[in-house]
Amino acid sequence: MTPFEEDLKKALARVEPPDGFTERLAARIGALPARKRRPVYWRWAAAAAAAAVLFSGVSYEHERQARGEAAKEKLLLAMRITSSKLQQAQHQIEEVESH
Amino acid sequence: MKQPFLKLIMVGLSLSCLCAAEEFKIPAMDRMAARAKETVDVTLDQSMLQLASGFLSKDDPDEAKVKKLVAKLKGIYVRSFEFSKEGEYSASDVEAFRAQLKQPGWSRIVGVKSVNGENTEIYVLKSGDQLGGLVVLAIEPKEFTFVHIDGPINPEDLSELSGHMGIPEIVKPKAKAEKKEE
Repeated sequence: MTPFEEDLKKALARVEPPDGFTERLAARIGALPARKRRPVYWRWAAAAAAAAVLFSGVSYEHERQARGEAAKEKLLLAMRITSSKLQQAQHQIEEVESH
Repeated sequence: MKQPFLKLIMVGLSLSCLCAAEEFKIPAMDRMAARAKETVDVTLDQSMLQLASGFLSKDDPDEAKVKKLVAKLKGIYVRSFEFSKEGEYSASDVEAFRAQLKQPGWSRIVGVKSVNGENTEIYVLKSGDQLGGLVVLAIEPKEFTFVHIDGPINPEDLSELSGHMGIPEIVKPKAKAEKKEE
């Protein structure tokens, strides 16, 4: 066995803990503050906030869709009225010209 | 030094306000609306036109035409009152409204008076070589309609829409003659 191997053997030799080590360790663990758990209501609040964001997003899109459809209908109504009045003017002109 | 610049800003702001408030007012509108059997009130400013345009399909040829037509417009305003009997509005009501169309740039291109009292007037706002706006007044015994299209408009584009999407078809004189020959 080489000196190096002897040193290694010594270093890795099993060493019994000193007397009272286990008790002292258990006492120190008991003295540590208990790990704080995040309260449950935070999870509910986060879920409610996510639901509110989702709901407001959906309702905004729904409202935008409704406003857009209403604007489109108004636009088509305006086009119909304008076109019909221009047609009326054209007919009147034709009638005047024919007399 | 700063005063002329501030004045310029003030003038610019007041001009922009004037442009924004271009919509014509019907002085007797409330009275007419109260007496009317049916009222149509359409107010579409540029933002509403853009919103409406966004809901018009590019793939539908008819809707694509409307989309193209309204792309440059600043607003469309329609007021139409239908009455159950004659005499619910006076000539002075119409005259008060007509007076607003005497402002610079506007000129009457069509004025038709028919024996049955159905009169139509078309006014255009000249803006350089093109039309910057169009007003149609339809004055009938039981109906008063006012249409203001604000922005560059070609009446021929409007006629292209006729016969589509519930817009009445405008029968051109030539087409009429051809139909008669058939």
